[in-house]
Amino acid sequence: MTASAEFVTQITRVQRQLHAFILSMVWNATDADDVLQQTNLVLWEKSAEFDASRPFLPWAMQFAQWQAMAWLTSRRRQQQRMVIDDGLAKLLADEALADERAFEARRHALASCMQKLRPEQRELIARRYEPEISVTALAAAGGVTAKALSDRLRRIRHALLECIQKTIAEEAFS
Amino acid sequence: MNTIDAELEGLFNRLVDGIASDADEQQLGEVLRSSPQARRAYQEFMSLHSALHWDYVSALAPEVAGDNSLKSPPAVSLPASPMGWVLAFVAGTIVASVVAIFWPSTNVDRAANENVATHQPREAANTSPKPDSLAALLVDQVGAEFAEGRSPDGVRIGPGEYELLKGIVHLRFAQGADVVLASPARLDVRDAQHTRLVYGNVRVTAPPTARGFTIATDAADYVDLGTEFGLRVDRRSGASDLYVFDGQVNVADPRTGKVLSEVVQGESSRYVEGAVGAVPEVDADAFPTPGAIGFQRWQQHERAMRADDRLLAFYPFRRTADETVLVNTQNEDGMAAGRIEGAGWTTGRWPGKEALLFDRDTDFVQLDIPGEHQGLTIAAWLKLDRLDFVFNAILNSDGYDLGHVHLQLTRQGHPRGGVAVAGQYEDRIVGNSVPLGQWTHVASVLSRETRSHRVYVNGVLALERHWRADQVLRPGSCRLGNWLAIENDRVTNRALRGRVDELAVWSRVLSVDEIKNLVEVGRPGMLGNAE
Repeated sequence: MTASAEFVTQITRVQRQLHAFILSMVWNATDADDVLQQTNLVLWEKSAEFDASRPFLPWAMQFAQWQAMAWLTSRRRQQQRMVIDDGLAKLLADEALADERAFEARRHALASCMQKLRPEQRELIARRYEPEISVTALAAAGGVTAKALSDRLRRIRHALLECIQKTIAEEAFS
Repeated sequence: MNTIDAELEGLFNRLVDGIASDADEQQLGEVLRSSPQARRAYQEFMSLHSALHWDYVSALAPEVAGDNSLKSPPAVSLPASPMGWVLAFVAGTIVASVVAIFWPSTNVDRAANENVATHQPREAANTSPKPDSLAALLVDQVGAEFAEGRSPDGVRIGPGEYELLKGIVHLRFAQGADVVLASPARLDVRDAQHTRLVYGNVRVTAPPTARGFTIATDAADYVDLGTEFGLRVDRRSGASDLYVFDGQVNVADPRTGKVLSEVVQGESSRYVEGAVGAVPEVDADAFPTPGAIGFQRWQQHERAMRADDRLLAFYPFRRTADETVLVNTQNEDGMAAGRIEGAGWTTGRWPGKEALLFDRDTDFVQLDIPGEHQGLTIAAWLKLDRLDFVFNAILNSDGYDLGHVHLQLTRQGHPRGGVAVAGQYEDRIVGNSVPLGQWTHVASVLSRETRSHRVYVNGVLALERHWRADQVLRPGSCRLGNWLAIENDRVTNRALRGRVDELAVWSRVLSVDEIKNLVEVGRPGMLGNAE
């Protein structure tokens, strides 16, 4: 029983990192949700094999990597499959693991950076990140081209990335 | 991002917005393979994309539950069968992992500054709860009874109101905070990080992942900064008393979110109607630990278990004035107490519970299991320090005459033993060994009728032995944690290294379900069992 509780804690703790990593392979957030769910199920099936004396995230990450690769294959995204091959997937996974602490710091910084956006920017982000939404559909509904909308989103994301960078740099000196 | 050119950033954006061309994708592959800086920028970009998808969106999504938050029909009490409880727990944990991505972890972990959790829309009526949202799991309980309409759906704790009328429950929130709620109490759960204590007592233990875990009360909000603390809300006066056992808790104004005070380890505070008051001395028993739940459950079970008239002997391992006596609570039939030789009293499975430590070659407890038996079940809780010998005795008859019983572990921790019989026997190791350093239940079941011996480790079959000759069971004089060797035995020293807490002997064969039940009621708590 104790193992189960510990496993719940561990699996919960790494969800965001797994999602971010899977997203770097499948690109679409909703697809990443699906792959993460499949990964979670596999992790549960394999829970007995986990050696609790070793770090959880690397162990979980390899299953995420395999699940994402399987997803790319099953979707017959040949082009994407060529872009993200096994070698690059492994590289991305290894580098994500090395960056675990920065990941948390950036996530915390995002909260305050969101507050610094203008209300209309926040609203656009909210609409863009509604579940199952596509930029193309959102653009059509708003009477603009997908490229124009993506461009607006790019500026907001750029502002957030700069703000996160700045926040972390400031924290490093405080 | 400064070092990454705008062109690359544009590429990332087109990719996640689903408008990238084949050429874009090809370019991405090339640049990611060749440039570590590009990969770093890519990962930072994807982390942002992921976080926006997770946090910000769910922060806008419905999160506050109204009175109708509990969709399931009210279950007034928890499953009566402890095994139902185990299954529900396992099912619950699986559900937890699958829905994890939908957890509305709102407010993106506010930092410990002035802008702590604003006490906003407590009664925001514009939203309906997500049917699948899960804030916490009910991981342990003793004697829990909830008010009708304010009870959990099995072990799932979603947003909504919970009123505990009797017992104690242990909730584990999705981001790792552990909350032990002692009755009578009422809790309004908002999400994995935000809960409102209407009245009653809670003990909160929050790991770093749950930093910012907030309990709101009428008088003040309490923001956990990685701590252990007790909080009581008086039902009549509405006063909130805080006792910080470890770390720091920030007390914030429920209306403005402004930090009123920072309370650190060993300190306490009282707020009533927005003002500071004199706080009473802490009553440790008022804030049970997760371990206390297990101890209480076991005590309740002990009473029921002792009613079994086939229970020959039950040693609860409670220290008495004469420290050399191991009390047998079932001594009406003349089965005497055990005599402790060397083994010393130490702490057992829960705080306040004792055990015996077997640490030297000469440590043991002398017992007597008189009579001839058709079936026997011997069950013990133990926590091994080491396995020093070829055989390490749990409970062995003195010597090895026909009908004598042995229960021991090999150097690898596999159970070994049975009854001394004439002729051949056959062992089959089918399950787990007994681990070092963890409280483990070992049950040995012997049957004359089926000529078999089965040993269960934590309720799972670990060893099976079969023999051909008919043999009645005569344990007789035995040693716990050691063996009185027969002359010239080549494996003389079989001293146990570790703790024993509870030993029970039945003159019948217990079923697997009964053994699993023993494991369930006797297991240490979800927390606080580590050393």
